[in-house]
Amino acid sequence: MLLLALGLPMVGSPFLALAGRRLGARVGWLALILPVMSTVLLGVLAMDRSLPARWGVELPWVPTLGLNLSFLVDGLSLMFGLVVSGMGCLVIFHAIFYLGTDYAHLGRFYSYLALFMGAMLGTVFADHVVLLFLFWELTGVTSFLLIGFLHGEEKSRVGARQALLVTGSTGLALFAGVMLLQRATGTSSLSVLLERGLPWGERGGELSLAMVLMLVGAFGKSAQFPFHFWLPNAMAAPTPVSAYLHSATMVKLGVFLVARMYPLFVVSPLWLPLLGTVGFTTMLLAAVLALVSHDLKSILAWSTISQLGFLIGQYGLGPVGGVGHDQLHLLNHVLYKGCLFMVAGVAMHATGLRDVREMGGLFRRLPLLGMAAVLAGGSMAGLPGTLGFLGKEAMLADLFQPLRDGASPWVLYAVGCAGVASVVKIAFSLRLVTGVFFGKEPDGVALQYHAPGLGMQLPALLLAAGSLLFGVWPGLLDGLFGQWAVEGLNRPKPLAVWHGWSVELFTSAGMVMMGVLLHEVGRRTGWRGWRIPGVLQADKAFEWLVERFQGWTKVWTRGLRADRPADHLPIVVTFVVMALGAGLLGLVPGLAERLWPEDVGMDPLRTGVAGLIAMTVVGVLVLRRWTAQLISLAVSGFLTCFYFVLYRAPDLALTQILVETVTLILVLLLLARFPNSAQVGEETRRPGRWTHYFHIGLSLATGCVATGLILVVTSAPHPEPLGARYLEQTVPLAKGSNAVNTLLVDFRGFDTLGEVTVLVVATLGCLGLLMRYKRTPEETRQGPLGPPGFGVEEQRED
Amino acid sequence: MNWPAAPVLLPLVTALITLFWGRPGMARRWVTAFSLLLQFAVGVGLVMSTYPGRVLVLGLGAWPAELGIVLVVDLMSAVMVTLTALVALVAQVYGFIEMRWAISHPLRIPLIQFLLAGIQLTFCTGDLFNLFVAFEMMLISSYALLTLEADDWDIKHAFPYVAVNLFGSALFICGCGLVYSLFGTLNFAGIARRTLEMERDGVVTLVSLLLLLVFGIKAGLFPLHLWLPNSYPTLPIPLLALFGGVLTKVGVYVIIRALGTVLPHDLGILHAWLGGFALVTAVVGGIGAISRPFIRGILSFHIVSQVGLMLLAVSFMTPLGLAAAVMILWHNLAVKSSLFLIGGTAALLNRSDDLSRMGGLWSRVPWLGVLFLVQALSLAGIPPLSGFWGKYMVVRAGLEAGEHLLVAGSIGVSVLTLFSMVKIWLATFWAEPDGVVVRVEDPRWRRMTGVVAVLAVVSLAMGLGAEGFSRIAIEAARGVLDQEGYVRAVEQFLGKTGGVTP
Repeated sequence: MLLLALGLPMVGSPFLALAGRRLGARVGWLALILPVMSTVLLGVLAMDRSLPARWGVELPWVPTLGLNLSFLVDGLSLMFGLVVSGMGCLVIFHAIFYLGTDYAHLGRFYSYLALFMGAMLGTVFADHVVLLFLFWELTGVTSFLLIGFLHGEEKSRVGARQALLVTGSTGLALFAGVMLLQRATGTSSLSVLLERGLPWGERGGELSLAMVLMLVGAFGKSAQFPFHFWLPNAMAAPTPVSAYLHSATMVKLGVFLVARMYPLFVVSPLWLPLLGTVGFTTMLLAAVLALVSHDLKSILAWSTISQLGFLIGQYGLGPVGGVGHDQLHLLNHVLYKGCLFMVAGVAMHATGLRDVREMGGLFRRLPLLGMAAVLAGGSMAGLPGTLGFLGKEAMLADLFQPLRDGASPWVLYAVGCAGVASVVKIAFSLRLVTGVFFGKEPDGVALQYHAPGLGMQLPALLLAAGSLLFGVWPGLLDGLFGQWAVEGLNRPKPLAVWHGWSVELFTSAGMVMMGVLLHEVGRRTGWRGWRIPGVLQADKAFEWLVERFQGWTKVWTRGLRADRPADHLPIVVTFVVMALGAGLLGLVPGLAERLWPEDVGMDPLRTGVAGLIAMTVVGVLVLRRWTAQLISLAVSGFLTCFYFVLYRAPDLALTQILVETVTLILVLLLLARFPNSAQVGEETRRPGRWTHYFHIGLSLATGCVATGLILVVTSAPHPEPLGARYLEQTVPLAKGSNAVNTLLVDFRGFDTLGEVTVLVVATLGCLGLLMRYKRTPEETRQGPLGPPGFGVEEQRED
Repeated sequence: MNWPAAPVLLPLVTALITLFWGRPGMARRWVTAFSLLLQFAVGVGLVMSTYPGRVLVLGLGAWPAELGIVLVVDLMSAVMVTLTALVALVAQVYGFIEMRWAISHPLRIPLIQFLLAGIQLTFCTGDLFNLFVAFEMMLISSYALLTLEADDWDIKHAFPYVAVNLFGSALFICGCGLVYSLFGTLNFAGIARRTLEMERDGVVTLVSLLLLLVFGIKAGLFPLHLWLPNSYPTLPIPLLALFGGVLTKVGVYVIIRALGTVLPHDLGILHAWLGGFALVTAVVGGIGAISRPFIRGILSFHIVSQVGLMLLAVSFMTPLGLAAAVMILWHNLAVKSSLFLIGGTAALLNRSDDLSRMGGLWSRVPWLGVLFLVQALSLAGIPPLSGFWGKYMVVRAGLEAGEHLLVAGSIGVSVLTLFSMVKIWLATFWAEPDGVVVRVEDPRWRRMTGVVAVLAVVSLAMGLGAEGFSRIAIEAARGVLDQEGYVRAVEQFLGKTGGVTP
């Protein structure tokens, strides 16, 4: 049943893309089937009390590499799974009305969404840590596709790229982390780890590193400081996507991961400092940025980040046994933020405006939606009567508890950040609701308003109602939370609306007053001058970095001489000579003796030929014209034939002459066809005197190293060479008296076949060059692509 | 069993037939396609008969290994043969679609077959000098192909390719000489046996270093890679796919074969050296790819980066590390060549592969986009596509070997890959700049997309069916590392002298 719930969206996704073309906008209803089925299936699983608290399913996939489709079902995964699939239903329902028929390629849209949902479910239910990473990356990719759904706009593309680069690279940190974890513990199953605990004693260092890496992954996904900047830009996606991915589900994966890690890693001394600082810094920073933003979706995005910061931070504060209210906070956020996003979507759809300063007075036109917004906004601010009120009480209680126990600097920091952030949050909640729904209706709204359908509003109303219901009767949640409690992670406490006249209540009331005051200040100034200061615009900085990096890669690649063909061979030769020279000096014991062999035989004929060869080589260096250099070089090749003659191998000499001739012709042809003038814009430089000397030095060094190699190797003790065997066997086996001949045409005749082929091909190559193949006009029109533009690309003149 | 010779002889015969066919025409194309199909079938047959861990040996002229040349096909070679034939088939058919026969160059088909003969001989040979001959066949054909349809400007960029590789050949022949003088034989099995038996000093390491440099030039190891990134983009797209997909991988294959089967396993310094340079190669390739503004250039630089990753995995010299290298190698064969072909199709639609002049493909030709997305993400190592498994194994092998720095580097390179793939994706598929036309009415792109889909399916199968894929890779790596088994198999081939020489 679990597998069906997970697999359906994945398998169904491609069909949606295919069906999209035929069904048009109606494909949404088809898509709705998938999350509804998943929700029902998961709901049945969740209600089934006969199942143990933690159980798993395993399907073999890649057992060779120790990776199977193993899934883990416990309270945490069930809760997240239900949130994912339940929100999936609402969002797709909302999207059917929101997108309507205005957009092209709806099939693709729902296909991405379904795939995303499958990946999300896979992530939260994964038992194998690598499987978790696998689905984790898949959510990143689908999120990339969804953000860029309106890819005609530059903003969408930039946002998508930012999201992918940030979550992708932090995802790689997660990968490194889980691999280290796997290595350190010897198992990769989360359920086994949860049962056994971690071997902190023996492999503490590795585990700490793994923890930090995994947390980096979580921070990236949940848009925590310093990776916070990608989420507001991801709002370029259609609003249903923002509601689903970027507030309710995907960005909560970081929270999920932290919750998964909690029972394992909470004992680490790094846990509180890392989570506390990052989480609460994000909370404060994002809250402030939300207040000074004006774009409706940006406000929501920053507030989401702020709340995620708190969710992550509260795990940092948590005591070893388990935290009390994480489920409450999570559910609360899902309800009100999902609702607000959909409200914002409807409002934007109805008015065509995005800036909160230009909106207002919508309550009269959309009273139902207005009620939902008031409820959700109240929940975000933490006003009584909503679930948010309970959440805030719980938060304050959790913050004050460690403070009473004895304050560490981390806790003080957390309390400070959370306090200020809560005040700011009240202010921007107020602003959001009043700014859109109350006050005077600006002309722009009246001009563009068209009434949205009820279907579009329905999911938001449902969520708001949920928030109200649970806020008034929190007892409904107690049973659920108790059932979903995970050992070591949760210690749910009973919820109640009224806690008595406690410190928390007074603090809360004080915060509300200060928040209202702050909002009033803003309203009085007309929100002029309230904008994100340049220093904090990390997304701009990131884009700047990306641009600079691209520029830098060009400089760097050019610095490595990739675009100077003339330098390639010298660099390669220099490297080879240096490597071999270093090898000679470093690897060979007793180098000096080996380089001076005892007896050097001097044969006049051979010495003479060697001298001639040396002269031709010097000629190459001295001569100025390249044709003359080339011919001089070829002469040295021809002279080498004498050696073959001296060793009585006339056929080899013949081959050598042939090869030399062909090579000479080939190179001459190649060089003759070199374009004379350089390209437009290309750097031209004649090789200077020093280049010339360098080349001479390089040639000499090559010669020295080659000589050294030969001397060293021949001085090494070597086993009986096969040559002797050939001499013995040539008459009895091959029936020929010339060993070279039998070797070439019989023993190793296959080599000769190859070499003959080489000659044939070389001839064909020469033929190709000689044909001076030019494209006909038709080919140029049809044919490939014209010149590739290299680093110094300019248009060329043909 | 004469099958080990078939992968070499088939293309050779095809080359001769198509060369002397008389007039160019459609018939030549049918013959070529049929031959390539046959080569693929032979490859599959070889894989089936070598799995698991059997070694096929064929002495040419029925001479025993110590006198003649042996062809040795084990699982590793067999899979390489198969994948090469597949890539060649796809690239060739793509080329047929791209250009009508009347205007395609008459020499292209035979030269590709000669090239294939050389490549396949490299995979099948069991003899160092024969390997040199195979390299020569391969290189001379590639020179000829590189300059065949090039105009003057292309030739200028092709020149470093020829020059550097000629230098490499010269170095290789020196290496052959030194190996012979050191070991007294050129046969792989013979060398392996003698390294196992004889007392060694630094000279063996030195000669190994020389061979590694030679193969490093061919594979594109930093800083020997310089010839590659600028010369490849001058090729026509189908040839580019063949070169980019297969040719550099030949270098990697030979390094794997040499370090695993032929040379001794305890060349500690050399492996560390290889690992370091491989990491630098991967990074330099990744950065270079970002610096390029056109698809062919980006992908060409990526070849370098991927080669770095493979050699990084090789440098661990553990069975798992080698298996990881083998996996990346095979995955790359399929993915890299199909990316080139997809890029070519995109360029056909936009009439340019300059990123600033492309766009609008995702809304017009989604299937091409899906193919690109699958292959590009696979290249970047996004799970569960084929590239991920190689990366996963590299990381595992590296952690087991305790090479944390190399592991971190190999993970970091993925970011660079992802970056440049996203760059192509955004500019080509998502961007909708004014003035860019998508020529959907050109009928060729449909057929091209269909052809490329074959490779995409193969790479998807590698990713989703990772179980079979990894099992074959691990088995192949084990075979490569099993020096004694290799020597035994070769020595059991007695030939016509019956094992005794009178």
